[in-house]
Amino acid sequence: MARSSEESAAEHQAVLSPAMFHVLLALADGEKHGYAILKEVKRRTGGKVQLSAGTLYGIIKRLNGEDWIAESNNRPAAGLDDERRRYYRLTEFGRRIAVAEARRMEELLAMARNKKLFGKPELA
Amino acid sequence: MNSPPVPVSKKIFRSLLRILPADFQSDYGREMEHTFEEQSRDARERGGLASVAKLWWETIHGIFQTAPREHWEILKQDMSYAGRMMRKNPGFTLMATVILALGIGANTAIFSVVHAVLLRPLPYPNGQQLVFIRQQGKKQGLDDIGFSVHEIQDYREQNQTLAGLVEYHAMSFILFGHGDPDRVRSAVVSANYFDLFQVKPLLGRTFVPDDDKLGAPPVLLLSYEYWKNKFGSDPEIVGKTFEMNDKVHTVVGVLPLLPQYPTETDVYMPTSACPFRSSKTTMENRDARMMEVLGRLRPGISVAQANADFSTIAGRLKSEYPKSYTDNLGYAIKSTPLQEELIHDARPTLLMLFAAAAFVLLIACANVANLTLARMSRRERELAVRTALGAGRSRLLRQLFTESFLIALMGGLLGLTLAYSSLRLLTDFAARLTPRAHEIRIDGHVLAFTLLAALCTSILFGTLSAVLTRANLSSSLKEGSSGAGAGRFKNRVGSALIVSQIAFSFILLIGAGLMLRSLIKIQQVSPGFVPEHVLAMRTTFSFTKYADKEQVVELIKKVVTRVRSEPGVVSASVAGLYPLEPEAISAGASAFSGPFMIEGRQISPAEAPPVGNQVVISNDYFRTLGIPLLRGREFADTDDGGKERQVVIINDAMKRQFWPQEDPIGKRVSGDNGRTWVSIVGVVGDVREFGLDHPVTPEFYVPQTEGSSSSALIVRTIADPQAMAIAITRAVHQVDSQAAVTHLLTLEQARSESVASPRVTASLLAIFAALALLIAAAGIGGIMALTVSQRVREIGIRLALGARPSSILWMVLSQGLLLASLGVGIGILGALGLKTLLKSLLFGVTPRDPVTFGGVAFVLVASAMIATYLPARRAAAVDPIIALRTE
Repeated sequence: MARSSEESAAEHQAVLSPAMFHVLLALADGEKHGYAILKEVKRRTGGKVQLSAGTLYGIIKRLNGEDWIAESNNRPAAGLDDERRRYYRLTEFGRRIAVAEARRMEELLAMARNKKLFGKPELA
Repeated sequence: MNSPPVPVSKKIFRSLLRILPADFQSDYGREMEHTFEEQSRDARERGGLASVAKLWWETIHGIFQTAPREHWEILKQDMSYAGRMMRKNPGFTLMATVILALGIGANTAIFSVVHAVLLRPLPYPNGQQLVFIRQQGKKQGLDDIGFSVHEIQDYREQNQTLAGLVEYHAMSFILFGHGDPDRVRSAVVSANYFDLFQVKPLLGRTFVPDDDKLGAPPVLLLSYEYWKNKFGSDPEIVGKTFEMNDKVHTVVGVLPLLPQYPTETDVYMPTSACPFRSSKTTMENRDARMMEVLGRLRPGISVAQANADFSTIAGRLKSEYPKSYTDNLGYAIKSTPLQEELIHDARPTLLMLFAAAAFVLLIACANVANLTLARMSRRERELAVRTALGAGRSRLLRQLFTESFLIALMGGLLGLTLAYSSLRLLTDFAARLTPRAHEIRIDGHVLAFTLLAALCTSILFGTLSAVLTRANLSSSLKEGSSGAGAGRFKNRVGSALIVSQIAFSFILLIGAGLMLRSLIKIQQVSPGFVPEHVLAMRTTFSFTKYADKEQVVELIKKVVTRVRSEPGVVSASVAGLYPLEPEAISAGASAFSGPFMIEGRQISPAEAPPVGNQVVISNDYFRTLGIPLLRGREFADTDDGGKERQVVIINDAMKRQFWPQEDPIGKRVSGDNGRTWVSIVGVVGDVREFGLDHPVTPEFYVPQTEGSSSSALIVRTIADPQAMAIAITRAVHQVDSQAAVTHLLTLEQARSESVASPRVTASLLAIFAALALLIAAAGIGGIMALTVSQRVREIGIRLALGARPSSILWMVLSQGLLLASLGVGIGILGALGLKTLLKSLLFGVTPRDPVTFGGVAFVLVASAMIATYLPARRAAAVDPIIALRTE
């Protein structure tokens, strides 16, 4: 692929919704099955973002279609596994997308700070 | 081993999943189910019922969010794929679109008429409560004898079933004040007429009870059409004044666009303004029946209940006033829903046209299915490869449906434009059948119908191609492109489609053929007069200026004399009506007919008296119209000026009916119950007064001594009568400058006008049938070409083995002939069932007319042969060496 990841990522950001970003984030630290993704998103956002089985798989299908995530062949030990589960992992491409998105947000945040949008600079 | 029962929650969840696309279900369904189970378990443990309910809510909400997006994604893919396929096959796409456009366009156009006229409720609030009420003289065959003032009062006061009852009668008046004297068609109505219909005026107000009082200032309401055409929709019209019957009338309002019923009307006025209606003789005479009556049923009352109510009142009247309701009148009263009154003439024609349009669409569908089928044979490999690559079967079928729908949608759009451009023509046509024609438009309902037609069409021909593809999908990969079994199956289906197209075309052609034959028969009917070189017009004189009968008679004599002296005029005459006069046709024969007595013949009180039409004429009427005198003499000048009409001329139909063996000359008859008797002095030939397809009825001609202020002036000219119109109008105005001269028409125009409705019906049917024939012929040509190209190898072998090209030609031709004959055979069975649909529309032709059946069968088979000839010739020209080498 000749194009830089930045370019490609910028192109794809248009289709990246907050819910999709959360799913990418949830997979950032390792492979998970569907229910684990739901739980992770809920835990990390303190319950503010709650995906359901109905919305999650629509997102998974799209992320899969964009090759940002992929189905993983690594499965846990037989005792802990359920054959109906599928495990998903972040692809390299997906990781770059997530990073680009995080950067974009960071830049936005910096701009907001420069504009003193938050009033006093927040103490770390 | 029994599997454990599936819990209810799982069942519900699974049925929820069904709203997702099939591919999505098979990809993620099991996993979603599992995730949901785990979520449910957690929720139960954590928060009990409330958490479970919340989980369900979120899940359902999520699925309903995801499903439309997923379906839309697939649709987008399918559409772009379909678009590519269509661009790749522009010939197929164009052909299919045009064929479907013709079918859908025809249906949309006819549906817009059917919807406006037959389906939509009347444009009045609670219009279903409105009824038209008729008094009848059943024993005398009188369908509508009208109401007198007394009768209106009786029914208004005594009925228990109506919320209101209003009267109506039509008059011709001359309106002065704006340009030339104008003869206006006015309706004289009760003050509460528009309240009963719950009509709100467009401008100003409608009538109020005070308008109806004797001596009230005269007021007028304008109909929408008159306001628009005569006054250019002048918004300042209210308050303007017109002179009419020597009185100044003020316009108080303009009505919205409404069905013009019972008659077409320019201005409305309250009953007090009509000099006839408010005259003492009319007001006090129970037998002076000149009004029509309409009513509004009380809520919850049926027409049958109202009729029972009216019959009770009728019984009371009969015993109270036996002289007015004699036994031989057969007095009865009946109400009909207004809706029914407005549409009953239009219904059979419209339904037949709708059926014809539906047939065209069916033929178009079968044809496009055939085209699709031919294309499928080229696409089988592609579809099979896609299946092999993992596309689910349902996904492929969905793809095929999307393609069909897209084509049908384009056909629908094109069809809509076709329908839209024919709307004007259709409205003019429908106006001959119903006063509701102006309501015809392409609205949301019609658009929905078009969309539905496109959808059904795509389902119909999409299913066909999908089913066939399904049957072939697996075999194609295994056997390669020329899967013999599948190919044969497909050809059989293709042939069945052709047979059905021919059968439907046959039925349509029979319908069109019968209508055409019947039209020709009508036009061949001798009208009984010579219409060439005759000009007719309505002349109306102010009856306030010429109050006396004698004055009018004198005036008319002067007019006729003046017109006769005009160079180029052969003869002129004045009459109450002339044959095939459009207004007389729409009024119907019964408006001019009445009972009479024959001297010396007794009839029992219960027996129906003889009935005949009465036509008032001046001298030279028969000469002007070219009606032959069969016996006796015409009227002489001495007959014309007498105080009483003592002589009468009858037509041949009357002679045949009442004096079949005797000479009627010198016999005496009475039209006023024996008070005066008149002698028959002549017998003239029969004339079709009320339509070429109407039977001739017994008729009296009476001399012009009554002096009617409105009559028809009929002039026979040497040259083109149309060219004389201005000179004749000027001649009339030289005698009376205030006379209104309107409705100029040559009698040839009148004759042509009288068959306009069957002519347009026949033309529309013929267009539909021609379309069907064209589509079916193209279809049979196409399928034969396909068969030939599939059989090139076989044909090559036959030729190599010594078959002559002519026998190959015949082989293909005979196949086409077989299909055509099968189609015609089935078509004959179907066409025999047209009897009930067509019977009421035909004249002089039976619905099973063998000439039409034979002719149509010949035309169809011949067209099929011509269409088959090209592929047959190609088959005969196959070079066996090339054919064998390519395989």
